[in-house]
Amino acid sequence: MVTMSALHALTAELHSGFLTLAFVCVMIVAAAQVVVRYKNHMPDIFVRWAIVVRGYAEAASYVAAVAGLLGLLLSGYTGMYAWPMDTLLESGVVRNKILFTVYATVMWGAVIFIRTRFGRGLWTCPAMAFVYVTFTFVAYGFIGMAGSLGAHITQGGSVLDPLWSIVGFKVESIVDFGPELAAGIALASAGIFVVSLWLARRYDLFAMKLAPETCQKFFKWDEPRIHEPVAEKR
Amino acid sequence: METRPAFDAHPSSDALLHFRRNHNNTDKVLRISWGIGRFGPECVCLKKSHLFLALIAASIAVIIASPGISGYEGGVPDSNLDYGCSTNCHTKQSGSAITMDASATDLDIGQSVTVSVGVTGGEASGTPLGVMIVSALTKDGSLPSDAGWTITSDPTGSATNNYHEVGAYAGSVTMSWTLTAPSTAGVYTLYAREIHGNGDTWKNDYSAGIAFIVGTIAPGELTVFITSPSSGSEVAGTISVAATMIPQGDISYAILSVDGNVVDNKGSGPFTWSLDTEQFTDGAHVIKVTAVNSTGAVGVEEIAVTINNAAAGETILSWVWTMAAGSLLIIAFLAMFIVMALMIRRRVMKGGKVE
Repeated sequence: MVTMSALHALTAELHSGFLTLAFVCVMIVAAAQVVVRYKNHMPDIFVRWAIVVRGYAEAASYVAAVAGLLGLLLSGYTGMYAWPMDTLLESGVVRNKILFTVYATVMWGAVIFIRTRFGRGLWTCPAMAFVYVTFTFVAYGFIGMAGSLGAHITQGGSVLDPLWSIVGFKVESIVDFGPELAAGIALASAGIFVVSLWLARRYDLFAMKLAPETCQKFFKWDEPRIHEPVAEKR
Repeated sequence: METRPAFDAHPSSDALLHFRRNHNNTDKVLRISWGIGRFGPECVCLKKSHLFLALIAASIAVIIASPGISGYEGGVPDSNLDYGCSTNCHTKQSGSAITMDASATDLDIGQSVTVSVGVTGGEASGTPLGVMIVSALTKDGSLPSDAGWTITSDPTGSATNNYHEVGAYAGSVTMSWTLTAPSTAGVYTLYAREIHGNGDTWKNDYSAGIAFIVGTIAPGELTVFITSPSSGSEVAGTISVAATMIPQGDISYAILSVDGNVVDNKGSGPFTWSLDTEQFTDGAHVIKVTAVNSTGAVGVEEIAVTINNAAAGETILSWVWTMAAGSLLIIAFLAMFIVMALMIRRRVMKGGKVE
């Protein structure tokens, strides 16, 4: 009989693999965009590789992020039933892991939202590409933290422990804002959200589409495509 | 079949029952008789086959009604009863709550102790309910006296029975017995059982029992270590209580008690218990493990812990707040950064500063 903890191990491997692939692919696309942008200063071979690789990596990152998020949700479900809930919540490490997993889920949801809403055209708009890469980076950081805490629970330690030691993060000390601060953060978040929506409406941003023709006045970033012809040096 | 104008009892002493049927008003004469035709042609007689059928019907009715009338309908007098009687007579688990308490659990030989049994709820409202204390959960040899106890006073205060019954249970009852501890040093356990009728044969056991350490037991032959939780620690929620015995072999049983009240009794290892601390009030408590091995040696270890479920609840609440607030903050940042990126793009495109 397959136990829930075995299924949790399986889904954990699944989401870890997919999200790592998504993270790596996004970083590859970001690097490729920089290479293509500065193609006049790069060896031709680099530029050709960058153009080919970014096309595949961009598509792969999107698919991997979606699959990874599904795996993450599955992993959360199996994790809830793999061990008794009462026992789970008594451990500070477990609570931290659940906390970072939830944050990672929201972050990866945000990454997928950006990519779904703006398509690969987001790479033609440097500001949006920066937001996309930053969110991906932080999302992967959260899932890395959650994975490291999972290793602490199951193995008693993690390969990231030296990093936690450097940044001064103690895995067993519970991350806790406290109800008052948390309520304040929630209210401030609601305020930021409402103001953002108002600005979007005020400047008609909801209908805005990102593409080479609408977002290439300054940086001239190409849209990453598969089988794109090699751009000529200018 | 003949009808008669009058309806009267048949004079024959052979008849178990005899009616006559009136011609005009259709009163029927019905007779049950061992004989045939003795009452004349005017009678409708139940023959042997009819009587047989009637007996079968009566038997079926008794069987159907048996849950309500088996055991001792209306209760039994106070007496000394073995656990076995109630095992046979009462089989359905009651919804009542049964508790058991003792004035002391560490006793000297021959010391007097008061054992109280409380019953709340159940199905016996307004009908008899009985409670017994026994020294074993076995069919025979389960009287307290079989283990060396002497009942000096039962709930009536004037008798020494191990079983006492209230005539009309009002939803809650507490009964107390006073006993004298056995004359031989050792660990003794008393159990309680409540039984009642009212539609079925209900029972409810206090099967954890209360363990009593009577007399002085040779020390040093068995040592108990409570390995979890640590002494003096603050605990909350469901905790694991683990104990190790030295020597480890031949442990007959180990008893976990909290504040002197037995929680569980294990006959074999591992001697680990899951203890829900929410069953106890917040504050200082004593967790005790008593073990007995096959030679009769007893080992006891007790630790003090502080239960603090209120703080644990607040911690969980704060943790949930943290999770929700952090998630909302991420969503707010997402909206803000997207809007900022689009506004930067809009400004750049409108300004046409470069190229």
